Amino acid sequence: MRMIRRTALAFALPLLAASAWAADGEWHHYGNDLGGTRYSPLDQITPANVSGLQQAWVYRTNPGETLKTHLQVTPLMVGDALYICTPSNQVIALDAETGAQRWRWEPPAPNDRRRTCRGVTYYKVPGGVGACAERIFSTTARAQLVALDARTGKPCAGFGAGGMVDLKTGMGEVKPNYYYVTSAPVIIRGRVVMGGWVADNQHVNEPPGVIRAYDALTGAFSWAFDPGRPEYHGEPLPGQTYTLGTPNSWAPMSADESLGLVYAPMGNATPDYWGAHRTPESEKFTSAVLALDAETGALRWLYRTVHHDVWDYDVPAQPTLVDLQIGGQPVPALIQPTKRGQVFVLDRRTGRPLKEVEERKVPQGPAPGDWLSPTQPFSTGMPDFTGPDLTEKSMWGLTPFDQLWCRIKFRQARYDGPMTPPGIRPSITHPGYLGGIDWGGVSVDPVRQIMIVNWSRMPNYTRLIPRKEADAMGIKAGPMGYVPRKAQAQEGTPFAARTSAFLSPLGVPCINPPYASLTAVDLSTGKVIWSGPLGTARDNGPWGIPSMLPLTMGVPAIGGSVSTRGGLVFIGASMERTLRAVDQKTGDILWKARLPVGGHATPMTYISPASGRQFVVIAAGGHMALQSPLGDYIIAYTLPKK
Amino acid sequence: MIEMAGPANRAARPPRLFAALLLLIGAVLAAGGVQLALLGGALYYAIAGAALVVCGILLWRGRRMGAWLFLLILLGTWGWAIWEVGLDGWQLMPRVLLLTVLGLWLLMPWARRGLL
Repeated sequence: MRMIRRTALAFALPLLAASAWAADGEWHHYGNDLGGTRYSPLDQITPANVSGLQQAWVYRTNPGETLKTHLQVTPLMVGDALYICTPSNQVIALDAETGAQRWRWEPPAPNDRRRTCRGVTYYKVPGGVGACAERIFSTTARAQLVALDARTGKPCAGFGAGGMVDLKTGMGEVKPNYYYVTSAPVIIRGRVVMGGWVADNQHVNEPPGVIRAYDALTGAFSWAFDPGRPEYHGEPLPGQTYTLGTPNSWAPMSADESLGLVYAPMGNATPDYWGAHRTPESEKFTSAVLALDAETGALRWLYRTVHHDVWDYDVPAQPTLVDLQIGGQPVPALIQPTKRGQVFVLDRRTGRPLKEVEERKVPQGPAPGDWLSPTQPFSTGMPDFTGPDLTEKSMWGLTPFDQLWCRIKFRQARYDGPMTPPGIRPSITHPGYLGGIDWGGVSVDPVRQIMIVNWSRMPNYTRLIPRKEADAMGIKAGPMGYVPRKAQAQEGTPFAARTSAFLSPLGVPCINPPYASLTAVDLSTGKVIWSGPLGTARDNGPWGIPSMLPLTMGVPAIGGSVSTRGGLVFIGASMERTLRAVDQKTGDILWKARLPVGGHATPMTYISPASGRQFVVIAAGGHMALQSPLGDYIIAYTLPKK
Repeated sequence: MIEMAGPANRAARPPRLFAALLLLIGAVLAAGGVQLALLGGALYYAIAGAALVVCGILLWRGRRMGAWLFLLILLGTWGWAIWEVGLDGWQLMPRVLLLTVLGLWLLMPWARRGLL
């Protein structure tokens, strides 16, 4: 490949060649490509030289501010600039070589709301010149979509009203912090497409789970996919709204430009832990992946990963698109990782499984008034990312006392294996709501046909609280933050729900380590190549006090990986404050860098045109739900100049 | 030794602080252990807890028998832990670490001196 490229460089017009090189080394979409592979074709950094990787620069997004939620962004890299968003709604452009700030967009005052922002979206207007010929799209905690000029950061006057589109249109009453977009929208066929995050478990009829597309040039409404009204793609008539309380799509979407399809991972119709009130449409689209026509919003196919979801097993990960070699033929596939630890591999033209899926009988005995599906799909053609089922023996703790406490809790709860339903008697959900696999998804090397999976083992302990008892406890619907230990109201159903990670009184997991692992899978055979615990215990300990123990344990992790042609996997994710380079062939950790706080974000990599060097960048922002301290660091690493 | 122990005995009193600690640990493990056993769980905690209580009483009274009983509990704990989880260090830790550390303390000369 290298030879061919050099030859091309020698013969082509210098300008043309330069742009081809640059395009190779850039990072234009959240997952590098529209298909979310998180694969980089760069090979400057290799297993042989990665030990020389050094910190190049640090940029702090909000120095001096009291941080209220986590920085979770994966930057984009276009030309010679990086583009990021912050939890406090700023959009920032940085110099890709030095990390110096180019511009910074502040949302119109007041900017008092915070939300997760995993990334921004880049769009080059075909044939466009002048201001906003290249634009950056982002969203705010007030549910606005904004288009900014990529060069200056100024809102695009021709887009919506003064550069903004109000996403609350047609959504009914949107109380503060009940609806906003957390993942980067995708752009396909000139349309900006996005779903949105909806507050979990407050009450029935929360804001609609509608997916919408807007013209990327003008901001004009293009189409909607309303899970409650799947045949109607227009805006609601005056006085009407999209269907309230429907399954939403909060995770990153992916798209296939040639098939003209956008792939949307779906959540469930909140409240999560009791679902007899859900409509047939909500049941149909719950915890599914949808293929929508990018030009009309029409449903082409759907694949449901959970039937009647009462576990908060919404599909959290970007569907990853890759062409698999099957019987010597490339088949357009879609890999859908799930919180259940089941990874479904589908034909992305039809939604049909390419790897065997089995409908297996699962535990019965629903909560009063609810019902359960007798079976659930298990992706038996792929490795399972849940680990062994739990037993009393697998209970943990730091001391005999909290281990005994965990054993008692285990015996008091209902646990009949995967898909044990919640009830008034406490139950154990394993994997819990952090996965399996969460929004970090997987990275796939399409050339070597290798999938890299970082996955968790962390059960939830859940109890439904009858309404009378909940009322007596004063549990009410309220604006939503991360309140894992408090009960959630689920108003409009007979039960509130209390659920949290299954921890001992010392704040350590009630099950034995590892809590996070990294695994490589050969996609052609479906077999594991290597697998091992991710992260040492040095930053974890009782009551969150660091133990300083440099022992590999597999500590809790959230975030994603990047695979490179150079043969490396870059991953932070872990509560051990570390960015690592892992040998894709063996799983050996070849390089580590200490981060100021946990890097619970997916890294990215690019070639800076200023020096021609490959950089690796990660956001170190901590994580609320993991109680991993917060930070506002964007950190870049590169090989020293020769 | 015993005949001439008048003043020496005063210097080497029974390890009462240690004994009290064992009593406390034993009582907590026994109480929780009974609850666990009634739920159909492991019997280890109830048995080990009760044995530690007896051990604590013996050591409080300065009986060497208490040290032997402790050794028995420690060996039993290791045996049970290995039977449950094999040689997995992270899983052995909550099962054996505390009692092993206490056992090492009991081996120290100043702890042994106070025992008859």
